[in-house]
Amino acid sequence: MTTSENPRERLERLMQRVLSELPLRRAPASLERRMIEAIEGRAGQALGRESSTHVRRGGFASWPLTARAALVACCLASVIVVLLGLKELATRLPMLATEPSIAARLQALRDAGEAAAAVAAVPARLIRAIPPDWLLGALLATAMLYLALFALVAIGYSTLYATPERTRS
Amino acid sequence: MHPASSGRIDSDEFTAFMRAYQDMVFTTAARLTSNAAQAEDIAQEVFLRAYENFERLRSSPAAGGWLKTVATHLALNHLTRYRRRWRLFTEVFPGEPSEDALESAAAHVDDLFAHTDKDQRRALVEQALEKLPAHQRVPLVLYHFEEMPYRDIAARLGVSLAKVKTDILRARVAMAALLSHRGLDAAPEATGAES
Repeated sequence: MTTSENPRERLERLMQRVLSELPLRRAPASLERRMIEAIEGRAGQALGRESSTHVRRGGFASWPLTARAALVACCLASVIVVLLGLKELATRLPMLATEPSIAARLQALRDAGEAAAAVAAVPARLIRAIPPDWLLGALLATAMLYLALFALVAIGYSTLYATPERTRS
Repeated sequence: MHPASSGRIDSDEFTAFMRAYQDMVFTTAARLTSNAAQAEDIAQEVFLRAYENFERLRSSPAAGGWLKTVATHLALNHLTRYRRRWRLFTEVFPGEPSEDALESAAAHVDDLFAHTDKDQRRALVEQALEKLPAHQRVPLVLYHFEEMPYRDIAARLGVSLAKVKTDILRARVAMAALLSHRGLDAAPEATGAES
């Protein structure tokens, strides 16, 4: 011990000395068994994931030839069916619209649309009836309340929960 | 790709790697958490991460340091929920121990060296360390065992530098008091053992 050593330094030195005498603690025997089980479990999961995602991750070029041919055939067939369907619709649509049963349904649809538009016009009329100053004031008040609430939550979070390392990350 | 699925990891090699470091990893976690079950969970997680990085670690001279850093990081994350409580403690009970208290604490530790043998001291120190509250034990362990500077401890725990210094100082005084009580109990046994 040096004579110039103050109590603080002396305590630190003694504590370092007494703590450095401590040997490593022996890990429990169960740790190795648990590790082996965990590794086997993870390896099994990884193998399962790999086999199921091989085709997905490998892309079209890595697919089996039959799968690629089937997909191309399906795509071509779909395109042909859609084109034929559009052509058929284009020839039949004008005739359908003139049929009495279809025409009645179309009229009902138009009536329903007009009714919906009339209902939607009510709030618009109401809003137009409110003085613009009131609307502006309400919007500003809402924005201020939102900002105040946001600030309150941010302060609460940083005070009660966030740590510097979380913030850094 | 998972290393196990690639077939590149020899399980015997990894087991040998684990055996070489498991005491160090477990000790690091156990000293910080003061709980053997939690330390075992943390050690398991550390070695699972090591397994995922084994290609890099198997021949690296820094593997031990890597494992220690991960164990420390995981143990501190585990303790995260209590950190606010540490801050509260240091803010509710601010101030450093008096010079007299420091003198007395140093004298207690000196007495311990005088009246106990090495094995007894080890047992007493382990017990005393476990008795310390987390807000004192964790910075003390980081400083004395992990050799982290005060500034790094403050950053890691999210407290001020002054608070870290105070907490560690108070931890040393508390440790000395615990060692004093237990050391006096152990002293007759030590004397008997030596004679």
